[in-house]
Amino acid sequence: MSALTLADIGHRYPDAEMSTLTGIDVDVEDGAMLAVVGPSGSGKSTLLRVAAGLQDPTTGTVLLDGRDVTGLPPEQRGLTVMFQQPHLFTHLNVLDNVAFGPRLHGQSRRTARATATKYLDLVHLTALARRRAPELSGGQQQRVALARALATERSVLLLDEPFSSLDTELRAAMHDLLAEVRGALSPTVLMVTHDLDEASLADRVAVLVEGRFAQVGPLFELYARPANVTVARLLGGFNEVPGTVEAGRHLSVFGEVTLPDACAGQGPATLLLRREQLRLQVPGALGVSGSPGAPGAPGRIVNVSQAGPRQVVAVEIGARPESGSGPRLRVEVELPLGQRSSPGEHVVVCLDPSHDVWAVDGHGAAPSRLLLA
Amino acid sequence: MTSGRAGTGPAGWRQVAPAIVVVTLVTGTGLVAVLATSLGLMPLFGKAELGTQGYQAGASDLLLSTRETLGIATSSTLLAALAGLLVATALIGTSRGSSLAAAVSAGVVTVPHLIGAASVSLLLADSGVASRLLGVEGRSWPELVGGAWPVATVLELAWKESAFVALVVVASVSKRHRDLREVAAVLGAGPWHRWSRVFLPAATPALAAASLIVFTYTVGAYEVPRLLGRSYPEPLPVMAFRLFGSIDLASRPQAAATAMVAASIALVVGFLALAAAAGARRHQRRDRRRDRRRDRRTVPIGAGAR
Amino acid sequence: MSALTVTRSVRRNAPSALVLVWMLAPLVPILVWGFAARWSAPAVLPQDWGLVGWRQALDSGMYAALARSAVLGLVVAAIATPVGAMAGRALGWREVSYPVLIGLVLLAPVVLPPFAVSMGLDVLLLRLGIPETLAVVMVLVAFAIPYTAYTMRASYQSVDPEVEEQARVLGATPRQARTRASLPAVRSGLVAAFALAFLVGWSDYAVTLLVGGGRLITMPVLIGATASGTGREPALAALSLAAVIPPVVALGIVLRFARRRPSPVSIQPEVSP
Repeated sequence: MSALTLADIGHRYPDAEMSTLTGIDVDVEDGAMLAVVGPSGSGKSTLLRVAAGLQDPTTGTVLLDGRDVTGLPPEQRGLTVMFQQPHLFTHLNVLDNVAFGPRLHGQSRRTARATATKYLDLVHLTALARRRAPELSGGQQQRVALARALATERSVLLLDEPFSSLDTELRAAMHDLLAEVRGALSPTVLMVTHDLDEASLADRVAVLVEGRFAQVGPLFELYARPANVTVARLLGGFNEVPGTVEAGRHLSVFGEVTLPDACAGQGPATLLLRREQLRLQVPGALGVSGSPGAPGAPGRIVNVSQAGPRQVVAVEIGARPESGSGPRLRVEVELPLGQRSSPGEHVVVCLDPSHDVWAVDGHGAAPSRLLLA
Repeated sequence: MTSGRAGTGPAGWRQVAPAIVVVTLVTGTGLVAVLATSLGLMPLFGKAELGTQGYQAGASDLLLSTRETLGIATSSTLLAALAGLLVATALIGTSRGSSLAAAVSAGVVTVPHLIGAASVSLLLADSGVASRLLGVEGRSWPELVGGAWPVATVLELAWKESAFVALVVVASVSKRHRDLREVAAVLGAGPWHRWSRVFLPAATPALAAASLIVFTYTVGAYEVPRLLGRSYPEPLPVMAFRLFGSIDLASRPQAAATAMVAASIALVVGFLALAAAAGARRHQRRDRRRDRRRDRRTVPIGAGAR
Repeated sequence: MSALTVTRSVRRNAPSALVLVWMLAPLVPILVWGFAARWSAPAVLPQDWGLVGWRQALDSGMYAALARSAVLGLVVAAIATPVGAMAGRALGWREVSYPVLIGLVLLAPVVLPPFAVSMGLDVLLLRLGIPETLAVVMVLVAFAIPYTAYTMRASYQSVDPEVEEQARVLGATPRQARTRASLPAVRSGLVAAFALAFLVGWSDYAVTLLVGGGRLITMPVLIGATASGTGREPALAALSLAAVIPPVVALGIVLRFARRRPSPVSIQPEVSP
């Protein structure tokens, strides 16, 4: 039995034309973590609030350990939430903030404070136990809020973009902390986030698009086999090559690419190529890898940018610009460490055959028809 | 400390001067004058003679009036605070219907006490609206107006001041409260705990300040007991007015003495509240300094820096 | 609608309804009496409706009293608002030393009973020969200043002093900076302060009676006199209703101003963790 289940959850505001959520079905196993990602406006926050009991769904049920909690207010559900803002109680010091939940449970002040100290230790803030909220930095306040939520000792933890207001370095520290907490307590976690690095902490990722789940699965699977173009765009780093699928091959300006067996079917489809899968071959240059027979397309570099330590070049492929006609395609190629190029160079873009390719024909939340077993 | 900015107007002192001058001139002079009058130093006619006649002449009445005033002030303040807190809870709770309720509450604050008293007298008198609505005959209706207990007075004061208290509390709590309520709920707090452990602590400072203002106002309230109270014992303001308007010249110092007693009560209570607030703040600061010293001793440098 | 949703909406609206009942119930008598011609016990509703009370009220000089009250309120507000606004600005923008002390001094009129101060001043003002109306205005201004000053202090606290500097570097003189940059930013506060001061002047009874020597007949004075008599319920109700209308109107104006677009706000940089 899974710890948290959302069954056919639907939500629509009374005077809204479209639903916020439709047909949301997901199970989160005991001790597992599910990340929900999606563009803004996709309904992520509504989903979390429905799960928490801060908002009622229009249809569907929320189950906690098999119990139907759909009509129950948040305090009776047996879960706890951490929001984007710390919202610490200003009339209590840090320790009493963390002890808030245990106190409600009936623990005496001393016992509650002992419990609180334990969780304050977990987030490494014992030294600040007697301070008040305004004296702490943003990162410290969020850590206190985390300890406070954990101190309720409920098995299900919901996180609503909890680290989005922190800077990059701090966010990384919080990710480590979250991993530490999961190791120590094994809570069941549902996290809403727009940060894919954060989502990578989860066992599974659910992509929410326009109120529906477009794809649910481990993050590596999402990268390897995106369900449709929208998911690919959300993950970022994919080149989209429009074309047609025929007899197990994808035909496009780029050339003919053999598709894996899972991509059966026919008809128009978008080929998804990762930046890292492409290689540049400079005609006439020595020692540049490019396996013979690998598909490649000639083109011209139109832009060069930097992605961390590597260069990313944008190449325009297709008919030579002088002729003015013919389909044009722009792909981005991530160059290996140390390789550099400049705009204007004429190159050939090749596909590294050691990687799998993928093709889809879906948009929005609709899955690709090509996803056949 | 002056800002040192390229000021665009006269220096700070000159900005506050008119307000300070008017206030100190009027209230300071008035207080000094009333004190002097009570000591016989400012008669309407005749020579000034220092003496405590003003206080001694009607001493027993003065004591009775003081007791009456304190009774009215305490009970109406407590009632106003309680009712105001409940109204504030209701106003903060819902968001749709409460804007009408909030506007009406603000409207009640603007109603002058005199008119409130006039309406309450029509409501609670022997054959008033209330007795008629409840079907009780005039004779069996309790003496709420002008009776042995100042029921109507206290009720009118409590009613109007509860609107004031409610608005002050709502103004000071409102903004973050909705978020904090959700946080408390997801930490396991039910409605009662959300009220007692989140709303109440947040509302307490404003509640205390508003209650203080209500108390000092009711000590000096004249029109309400004048319309709704009985003539004996009368609270201090009513007694002072009566003596002030009497033809007997000797009652001037007595009136002034009565006024001094009322003013002193208000000043003392105000001063005590200030001292309590300042003491609480100093206590907090001392605690924090002590904790910080303790932290510095036990925590290695650098930890907790983030 | 299911039974659950009905009970839920009742439970949600009940508190507001109770508040409305608590706030309005004590005012019902003057509302009914104001339009009753004859209403003797133990009838729950008037036997005869009519505007008798209003006619009686007019006979006793209601128009004149309304005018006097209005002028008094406006004059008190016209003086107390700018005086309080200047002090509020100095306090809100921390342009003075000892702000706490100044704040306390400005609070004195709130704590002190107005009648005590008035009784003391009465003899003095008589000796100095100051005309009554002027004296009443002076005292009421002093009692209105705490409200105007604190309202404006709160208003200025929510405005960044830099707006005036910004105006200056765009070419504005100090006066222009004030009239075009900072004053518009605190406009809603000014309206609220003016309304509060107006209320102080409009509602006052004790000071007008004492310092005015009973000769300045404002609405409260008229109402006080009417309340003393018997059988004057319709007139009392009519006068009371008339005296309640301007404050309620003032409240409406303040609320409308409060809903307008807020003043230009400067973005405060987040304190880095």
